[in-house]
Amino acid sequence: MKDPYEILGVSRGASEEEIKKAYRELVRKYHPDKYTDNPLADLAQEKMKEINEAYDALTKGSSDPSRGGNSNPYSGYRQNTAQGERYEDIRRMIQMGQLDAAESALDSRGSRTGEWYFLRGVIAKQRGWLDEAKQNFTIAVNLAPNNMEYRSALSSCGVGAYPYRGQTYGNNGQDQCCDLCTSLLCMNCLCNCCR
Amino acid sequence: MFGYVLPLKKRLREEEFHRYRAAYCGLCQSLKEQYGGHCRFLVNYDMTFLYFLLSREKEEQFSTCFCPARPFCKRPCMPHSDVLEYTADLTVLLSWWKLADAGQDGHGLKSLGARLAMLLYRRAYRRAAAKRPREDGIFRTRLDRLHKLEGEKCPGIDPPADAFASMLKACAPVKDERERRILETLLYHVGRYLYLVDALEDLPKDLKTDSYNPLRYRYHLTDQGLTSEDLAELRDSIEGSISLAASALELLEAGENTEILHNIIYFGLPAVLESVSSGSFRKRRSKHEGSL
Repeated sequence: MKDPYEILGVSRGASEEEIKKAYRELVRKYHPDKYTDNPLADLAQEKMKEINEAYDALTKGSSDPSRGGNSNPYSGYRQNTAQGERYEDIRRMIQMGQLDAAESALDSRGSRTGEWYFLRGVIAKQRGWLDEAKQNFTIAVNLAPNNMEYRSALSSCGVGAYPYRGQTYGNNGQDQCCDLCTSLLCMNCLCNCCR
Repeated sequence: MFGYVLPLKKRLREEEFHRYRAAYCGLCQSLKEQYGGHCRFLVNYDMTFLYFLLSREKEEQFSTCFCPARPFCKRPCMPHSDVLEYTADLTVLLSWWKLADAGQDGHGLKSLGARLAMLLYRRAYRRAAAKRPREDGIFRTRLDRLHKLEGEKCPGIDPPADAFASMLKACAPVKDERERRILETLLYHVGRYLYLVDALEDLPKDLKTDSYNPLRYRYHLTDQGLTSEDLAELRDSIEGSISLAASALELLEAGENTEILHNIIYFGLPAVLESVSSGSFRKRRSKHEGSL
């Protein structure tokens, strides 16, 4: 096992508070919720495990209710529908990462229900085809407006659902004065270029 | 290739800024040493990003090199390394296929220009292709697929974006399975971002000249640009790719390069997306780069 201090990114003399803080920070970063439908979900889970072990090693097994290491990111897909087992099979294929097989199994089914579009959306999302995923989830929700699973899948394609938060670009530059300053700075850079 | 993958300079620490510039100069120098002076013009920011993504060892010391754009000063640049060489090879290959693409479906002067440039770069391309046959083969098949989809006027944006993104995905020749998966996901989504941002940037021009643009068929555009709802939807989708790239970056152990890569993904890409969607990218460009 690697050095637990290194994993948590704290120095050797770190206090319990610091360790806890670093741990929470890391949990927030690699939490399975942030890697839902992400092709790298298993790697994030591994990382979580590593972090949990490191934390346990440093705090000698004191438990912390805030951590969520082993929850299965796909648990949301387990659901009982009266649709018969074939959709269940397809869900299983998606969980195992056999996207092409799942896609052709879907294509071979004639009837296109909400579930059909939903699963197509899940496959697209796993591939990173976000636009197509959203289109499919929208159709699924329209066909079965009461299904909460479809709804949450659709909303997960919206803004702010992803772990990263867009950092916008401060001033939107109509500032003439600033332009002047930048040109002067550029000139200055040119002068300095031969330092 | 396109120059949409940049760091946000004001968020870069001075030391990292110097390293970034040294990598850019190092790539330029490596292109010249391997392929001749005319290949210097192929150097670009996107490939500098690739260099930082792949290189793991911290350089001991910068070497200095002559820069024709600033003939009176020596520039610090990254010393020669395998990764730098690989990046230079791929720069030649990707530029070649981009020219081939422009030569095939561009109009009039643009197409002619691309064909002339292809004459100039033919030898360099052959050498690079002989050196990296795996990558060259992948670029060729993906570009064929892209052309086919363009010819069919594919109504979705994801299939052509996928064809393009898989080109970048092939640029991760790493043995370690875990690391390769992370790099592939990261590059795939940076590629998807690149393709869609480029389509968005070119949209007004393509509508005017009646050229192919994936957004035209996705949003059924005739001569009007995107409505604000459609633009918002497209931006969501592109931001989705940025965040998937970010989530992959968090898993990558990039050592010394972490901060530069972090800057590019978390600040550079959103900033470029922002200015492309407000239509001020080309205008702002000089300002954005500063004197990178």
